[in-house]
Amino acid sequence: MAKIVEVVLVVVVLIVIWYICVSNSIKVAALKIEESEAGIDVALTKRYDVLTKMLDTVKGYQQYEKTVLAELVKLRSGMSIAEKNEANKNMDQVAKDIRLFVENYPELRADASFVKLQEAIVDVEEHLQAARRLYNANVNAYNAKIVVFPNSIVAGQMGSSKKELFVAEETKRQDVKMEF
Amino acid sequence: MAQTTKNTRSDHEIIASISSRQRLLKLLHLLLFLCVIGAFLGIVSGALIWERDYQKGIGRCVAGVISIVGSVLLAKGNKKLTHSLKVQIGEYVVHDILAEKVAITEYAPDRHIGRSFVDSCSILPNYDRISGSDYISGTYREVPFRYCDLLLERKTQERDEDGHQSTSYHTVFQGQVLRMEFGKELDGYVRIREKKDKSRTAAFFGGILKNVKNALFAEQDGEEIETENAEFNRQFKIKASDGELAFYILTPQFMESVLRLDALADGFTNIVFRGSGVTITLNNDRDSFELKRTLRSRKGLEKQRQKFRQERDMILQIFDEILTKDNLFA
Repeated sequence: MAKIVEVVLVVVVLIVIWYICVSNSIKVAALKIEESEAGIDVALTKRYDVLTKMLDTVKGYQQYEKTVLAELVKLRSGMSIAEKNEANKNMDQVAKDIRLFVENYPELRADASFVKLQEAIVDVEEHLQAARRLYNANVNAYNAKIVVFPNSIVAGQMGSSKKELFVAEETKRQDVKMEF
Repeated sequence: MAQTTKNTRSDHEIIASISSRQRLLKLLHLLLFLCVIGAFLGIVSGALIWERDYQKGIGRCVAGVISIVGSVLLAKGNKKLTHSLKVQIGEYVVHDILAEKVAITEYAPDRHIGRSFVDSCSILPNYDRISGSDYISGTYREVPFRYCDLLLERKTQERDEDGHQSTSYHTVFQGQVLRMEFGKELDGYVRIREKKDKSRTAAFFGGILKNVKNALFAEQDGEEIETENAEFNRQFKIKASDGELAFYILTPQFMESVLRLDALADGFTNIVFRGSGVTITLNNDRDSFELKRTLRSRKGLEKQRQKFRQERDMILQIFDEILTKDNLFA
């Protein structure tokens, strides 16, 4: 009898240790997502700021033009990933409009401050790509973790659900080899 | 058509100078071999006939000792001559071949990258003895760089049953070290180490152990990164001070470049981005720009030049792959 109790105790202790390990790893994965989402926020804000400056410069040249440029949608705090995706798409459109507009203005292309802004937007977009890929890598790791049995039992008890990816712009996605 | 070096030496002069040293080196090798054999035979046979014929025994032992002294002197001469030959080949042949494609600031055939650099490099192993050759500094495609061949050895001390201690050295790194400077200062680091065991079994058990380790202990030395490139993850272990910097550097295109670079290097590739530059170490048991055959004719020299050109191009291909990281080397 005592032996059975010992075995049961050992099994219970092992289950508790396993439960703690799995719940900790899910919490750590969720924290990593939060951290990387903050990285996306920073990169999106930087992109928004640079695009605003570019739009202001372009509008100075646009006085006698009828070209309609897309308006930037203002970022607000507490946006969901879907909303951030939308805001990013809007920025993609604005960036595209600016690029098309600039093609017709050689003097704007030669403007030193505008050239600096163009360099800045390239750098900001690269950082946004990095933040996006880090976030998606973390989301994929988290999603894989919570759906796999027996982790799914712990995840279910913790109320964890699958997280949404931050999608890439179609042209940028073509370069990325996704192998998850 | 006779080619000239920076010292305006003709091919004929180069061949005469190098081949005479090579012949002398071969002669020294032969003499050294004979001296070692002589020392062994002299002492052993002297000891064997000592009791029967005292005078003969003494004579042979003295001859053995003289052979030992001769071996030591010849070994020293051999080392000195090998060194001077390496310098001569470097100055007369390798320098010009490098200068065809690289703006050289300094080329020292008998030197290696500074000890302080090696000591502070996180992707090189600990060592007790260091040697190296073909130190090159200069610019390639407007990027400042340093390069050298390096040999790092660890000391092992063993004690036998009689209490005699013997020291031996084993190689822990033999290959190339490259350092390239980019215009930016990185706020952190990204370290890429090639995994030694790529087998699936190791990955399976390693995965279980890693999960337990990650769940129980917080990571202390940076963050381990998994990218979206499965092949890259299988081949390399990535650690970074922060994940975003790792993804900023490891773009999908650059990961492909690193995989190509690793195939070219044909060994273990480690890369670290830190401070204002990137360091690449290729542990592939290779030593660049070594003359293996005796130079006899202009045809032989030309053949050797072609071989050195191939080695140079292989090194420059590695530089080219790193330079695809254009957001750092802008």
